[in-house]
Amino acid sequence: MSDPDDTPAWEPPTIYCRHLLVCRSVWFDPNRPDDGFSLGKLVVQFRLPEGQDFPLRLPRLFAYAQLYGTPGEYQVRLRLIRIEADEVGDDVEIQLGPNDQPVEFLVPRPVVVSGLNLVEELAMPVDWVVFDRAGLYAVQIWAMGYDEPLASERVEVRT
Amino acid sequence: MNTRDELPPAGRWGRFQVFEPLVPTNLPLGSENWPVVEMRIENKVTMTDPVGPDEPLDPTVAEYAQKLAERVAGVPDDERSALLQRIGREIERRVSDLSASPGR
Repeated sequence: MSDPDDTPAWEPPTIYCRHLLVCRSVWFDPNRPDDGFSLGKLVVQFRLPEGQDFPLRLPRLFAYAQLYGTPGEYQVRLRLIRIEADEVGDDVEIQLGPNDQPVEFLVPRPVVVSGLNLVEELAMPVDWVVFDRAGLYAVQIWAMGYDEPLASERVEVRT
Repeated sequence: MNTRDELPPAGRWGRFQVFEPLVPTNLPLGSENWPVVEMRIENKVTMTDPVGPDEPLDPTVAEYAQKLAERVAGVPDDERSALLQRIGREIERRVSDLSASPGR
């Protein structure tokens, strides 16, 4: 009978995000898929088109992420929040849905993570992103079962 | 050589996973009545520029570009866009003239 002390302690699965970026396009050459993928027009700022008023509604953006961690499948979602400063300058996260509920974008299929040594790349088209006013926003990537976002990418919306 | 590039279809391509478009689970109150700001959906791109965006310009060209930038930066904000367009058209016209000139 083996010594119980020799049994490795069970550790919960872990998942990490190395990069999270927001861009306007993702593409590849279908005739040369081994050449890799390209991200186009990375954005950290949006400007309201001249003559337009808020809300700014973008028909499509892309979130690009690199994930690694314990091998397995993870249910992932994106969340869009607005960030404001309180009276002492600390960040306050504002949820954008009705009744202070978050606006989230569910990834329709589980994300495959194959290990700790090499990342998996994710390209997530996001439709109908709404910014209701100028300010600082953040796109966050969450995994089911985790209390904190895996990563957060800030974008500024300007007039 | 121009290459026609496009959004890869949803699926797992090696270690690259592409998903179907994600739509929000809920929208801010009243947003169904908000006007839509028309912006082009960019999921297909045709690469026509032989100089990639990350490749540095020839130093001489970069020097001219710097001088032009300083000139453009000096005009009021509301005139800047028009001036940039004029400069672009002027360069295109001169390139066209040079290309059409005899002996080339």
